[in-house]
Amino acid sequence: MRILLSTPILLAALHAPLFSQGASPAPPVPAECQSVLDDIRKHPPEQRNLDIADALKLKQSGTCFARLILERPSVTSAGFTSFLNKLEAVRTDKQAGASSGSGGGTNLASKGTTAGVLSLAAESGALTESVSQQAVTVQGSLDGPFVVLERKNLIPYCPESSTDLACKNKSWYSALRHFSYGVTFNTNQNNQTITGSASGQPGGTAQPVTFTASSRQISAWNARYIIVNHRDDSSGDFKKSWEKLLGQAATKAAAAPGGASTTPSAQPVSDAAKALVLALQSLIAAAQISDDDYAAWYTAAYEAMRSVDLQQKGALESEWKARIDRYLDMVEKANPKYAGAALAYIQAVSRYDAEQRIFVETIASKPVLTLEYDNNRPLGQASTSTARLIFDKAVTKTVSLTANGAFALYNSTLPQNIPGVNRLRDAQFAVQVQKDLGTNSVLGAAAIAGTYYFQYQNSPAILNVTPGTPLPGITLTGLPATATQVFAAKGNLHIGQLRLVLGAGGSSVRFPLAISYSNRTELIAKPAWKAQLGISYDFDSLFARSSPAPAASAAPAPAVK
Amino acid sequence: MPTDTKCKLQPTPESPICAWKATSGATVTIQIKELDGGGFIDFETASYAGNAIPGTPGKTISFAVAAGKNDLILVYTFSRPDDGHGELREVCDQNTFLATIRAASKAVVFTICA
Repeated sequence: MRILLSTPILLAALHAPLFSQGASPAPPVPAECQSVLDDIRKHPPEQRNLDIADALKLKQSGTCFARLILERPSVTSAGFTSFLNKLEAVRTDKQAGASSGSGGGTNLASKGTTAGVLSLAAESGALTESVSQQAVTVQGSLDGPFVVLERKNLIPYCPESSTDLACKNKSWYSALRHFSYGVTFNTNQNNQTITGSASGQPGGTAQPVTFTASSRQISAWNARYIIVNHRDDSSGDFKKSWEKLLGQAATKAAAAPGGASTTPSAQPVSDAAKALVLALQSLIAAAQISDDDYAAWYTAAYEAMRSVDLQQKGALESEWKARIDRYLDMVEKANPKYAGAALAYIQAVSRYDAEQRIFVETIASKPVLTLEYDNNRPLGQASTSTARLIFDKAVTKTVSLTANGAFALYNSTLPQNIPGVNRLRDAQFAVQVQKDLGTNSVLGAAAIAGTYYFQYQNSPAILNVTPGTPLPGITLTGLPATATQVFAAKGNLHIGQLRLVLGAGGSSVRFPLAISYSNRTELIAKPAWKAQLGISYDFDSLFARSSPAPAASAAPAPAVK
Repeated sequence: MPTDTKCKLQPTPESPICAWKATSGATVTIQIKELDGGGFIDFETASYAGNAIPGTPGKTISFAVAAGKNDLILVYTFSRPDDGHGELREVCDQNTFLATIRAASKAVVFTICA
């Protein structure tokens, strides 16, 4: 009897307008839900009913519903939303080796970007220097660690356009994308010199000595800021690359499970999509209520939404929010642990969002103008600071142009008894044209580049010497015992370089090989032929393999940078 | 384009359960219609009645409607992950509008009743 009496009351309550239209301000609505409500308002009448269904059916707007669940007072008080700290993540496009002028590098011209997470390059050779060096360079972007954490679901993702409260005050995340860094280590065995000075009276044949060490293990470091980025996500070329890579991820996942993945690749997107499907199914299962209750609620809510005056500001949002709150009350009552599934879904969609953005940015965004600061600390020489402006431009689909302009200053004041000495050490200009040779099964990704480099030597190159202690790779004869600095006759440098970069199958290993001709070096006023070689590894692909989906796959080798 | 151009899916927004109604056994082809300013969109994965639908990633998928209530699960991939949008339509003579595609709802489930 109680059921019979209460049923009409329940139905009447379900069908009654929950808000007096126009009387209440619009309630806060998550962005994912607002886009559905906006569509109801702007779409033609024949589509409106389908949009209303989207706004009311959990299955058709999973992200919206998961957010609503996590914003419920009963859930926030349980601490679930503490996970909803988010960030913006992206980009790849890399220079792995040392910056131009840091010594030991293979590339005469610096490129605009570095690895998204981390890259490591070991190089040997000399360009403007007279002595070949061996150097190991580590490079990465400041947002790289956050990308890794996001892929591990340790922190969620926060799109730039998000109006979510959890993304408030997170704008600094997006700024990190513009910054990158690099540190070059001198790995020469003789990069440390030890000097001993007699420090007391000899005792027989034994002499006490005080030893001092001189070493420059970090031979250079740099910081970069991307001033101008070019984004192309609408051209035919972009579309072709986008669909090709998506297709390759799908076919290679089936053909080569467990293979290595590289960037740019859509494989992480594909893996994240599989995880998203599982999370959505779990959310739907965790939010089940009885069919009768659901049908009664839906029918009432659908009719109420259809009768809302769309011209009245906030009326749609108010009616919808009230109806959804009623639905979520029923869900919560039937499934007390539903918040866990909502959180798992938001984490899955967060990862999918991030992977999509990384993938799109990889093929759509290219730096155009980058500012670089290099601090060079070569062993036996005065340290210098170099400011460099880097311009990158794709001329055609396979040909790119890079230009650098830079000037270098000595970091300390130099003795004025050296003729022509000036704090402004030199000015540099380089232009490089690179042609991507595509990918083949033997060589992997390959590219060839031709570079011209000019250095105006305003001040002579100066070496710091310690009497009796040789400089690595340099022998000085006839030097007065009192000499602490030596310098060479200054002269401008012209260098031409041909550089070939080879990949290794589908991996992220790169082998740069270069040969260069210069009219002179900084110390020697004679023409010289030189060879440079190296190896680099981009760790981005390694970190990208953290996906939970079982099938990893080989993907097309990345473009050579 | 299927040889039989008659539309087989009928949207049923008034139904609490069924997104679309169809006749069991009919082969249905649905496609993504990209809109100006909405970016490029593909089906990243798709499954129906528990079986993966071939042809993804892509803009068109086909499957045979099974008897009863079965879920069509779609995951879209967007070139504009934040604000991409488009339309889901049936490939048929009327080119029936089935749903709005939004970047805010990258994974969706439609129940097809037959």
